[in-house]
Amino acid sequence: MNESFENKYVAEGVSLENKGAGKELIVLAEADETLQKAEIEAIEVILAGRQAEESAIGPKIHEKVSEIEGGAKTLLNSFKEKVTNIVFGQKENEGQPKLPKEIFFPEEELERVKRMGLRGRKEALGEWKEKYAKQKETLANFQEEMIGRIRQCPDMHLDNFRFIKEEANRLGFTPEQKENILSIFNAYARKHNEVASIRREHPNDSELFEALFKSAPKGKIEVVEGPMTLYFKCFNVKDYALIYSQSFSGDKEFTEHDINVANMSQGCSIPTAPIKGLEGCIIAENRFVMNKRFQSVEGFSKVYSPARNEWIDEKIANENILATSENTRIHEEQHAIKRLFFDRLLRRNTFKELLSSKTDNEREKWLANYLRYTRQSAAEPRAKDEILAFFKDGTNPTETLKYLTESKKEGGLYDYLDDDNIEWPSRLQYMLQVENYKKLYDKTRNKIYTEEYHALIENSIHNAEFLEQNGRTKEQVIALLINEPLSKWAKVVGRLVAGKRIAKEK
Amino acid sequence: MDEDKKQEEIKKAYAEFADKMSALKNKQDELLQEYKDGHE
Repeated sequence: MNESFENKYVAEGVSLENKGAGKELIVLAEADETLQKAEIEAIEVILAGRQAEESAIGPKIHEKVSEIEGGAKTLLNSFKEKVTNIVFGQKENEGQPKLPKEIFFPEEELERVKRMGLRGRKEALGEWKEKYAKQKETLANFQEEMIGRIRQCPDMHLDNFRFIKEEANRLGFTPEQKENILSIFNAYARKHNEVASIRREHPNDSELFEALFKSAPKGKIEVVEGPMTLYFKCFNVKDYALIYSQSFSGDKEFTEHDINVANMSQGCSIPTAPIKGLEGCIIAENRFVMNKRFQSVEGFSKVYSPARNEWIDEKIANENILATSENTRIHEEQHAIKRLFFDRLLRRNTFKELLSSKTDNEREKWLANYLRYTRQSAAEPRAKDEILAFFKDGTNPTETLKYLTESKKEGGLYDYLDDDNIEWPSRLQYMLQVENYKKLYDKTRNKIYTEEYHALIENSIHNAEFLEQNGRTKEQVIALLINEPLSKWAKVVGRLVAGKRIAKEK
Repeated sequence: MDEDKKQEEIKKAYAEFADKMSALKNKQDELLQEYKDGHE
């Protein structure tokens, strides 16, 4: 089987398990699954020990349990090294192999520096910091390059994977970094194949919409297939609202408020999907709101732009809409790919840090960091659109606060942080089996998802009101805040109001 | 190393890992049982 055929074969969505279909990718998928299986086995041993330590016999067994935990970690690390060496190994018969860079292991190196005597430690620490920063920068650049390559040649799995392997060896990545790369690339290849497969089943745009969202589109739909995304251009706002609201259960009746909220954005990238395997692959465009920027009047060859307050040529208006549409597609596609990369890295890093943390304070810090990230991606963008829609229709701020902070259990409709809406990774779920970690999680969850989040919502509602009270129209307030994340509103409003005060004083 | 060989090597490495991890798990179970019995 020649290489291009293999590439095409896998890219067309043929099951990775099919014998002969892109063998390198089958090995990649198997290695990823085996590494995950091994990690879970090690976690079970480690957590069983920690759980026992919480019981009455805890103090007596501490030393022996720690020894077993150390053994499990060493076994796992050595297994990871073996597997990544096998997958990333230099190929034989390729002529002179490229010499890999010296591998820098940050954790081990830092431990070595800490063990050093006072003499030379400062200098060694400085050197460590320099190498650590350099490695982080190299990883970030590598990630950008990987994303760029995927976007440029989305079907060339084999070429892309070979390039990634060579680069990871050349840049001297550690087995753990290579494992992350392997896992991310495998996840990407699977998403790509899922997207290609559903598209092949439904080449008609409207039929694809109906197959996915269990409801015939109300208006025109155009679909653009990306490297791991399906971009739905929705010409009717109700179709966009269906995707935006992630209500995939069938015919949903939209209220005027739902439509107003959807109209706060011209594009979205949603984390969920109506079909398993397509999570994070659906992105959409609100063409209705893009078109609304220009109003045509019957009998006139020109269209009116309210934003520019002028009549412009219809051809120019159309070019403008198409350019906005293309920019939105690129933005949402990048967002979806980056989310796939970043989510995985963050989960893995959080888990690693939680497991190696020595105190509850440290564990709480890592949990809070993760929960804050999930809140920022799952709840804050939607809460922002809701606040602005309520603000626009003149809902009382107290009512808005009540709507947005009422939990699902209390009958709330806007509880984006309910357990059903947040995917809690399996590795982290294992940790919650230990009673002490569960208590810590409940405490941290309450702090980040309730106390901090409710305060953020309340402040944001007041910030919008405050700008209006300071002489701006509702439309101006919305225009000023709509492109800023909720967490930056206080700063933006502070600057705007202070700027106005300074200007007045002058 | 060809891909079949890689597949074989990964399987072999996992079998070794699983054996050793299972031995550790047994050791831990025995230890916990021993102390639990003593405590009761």
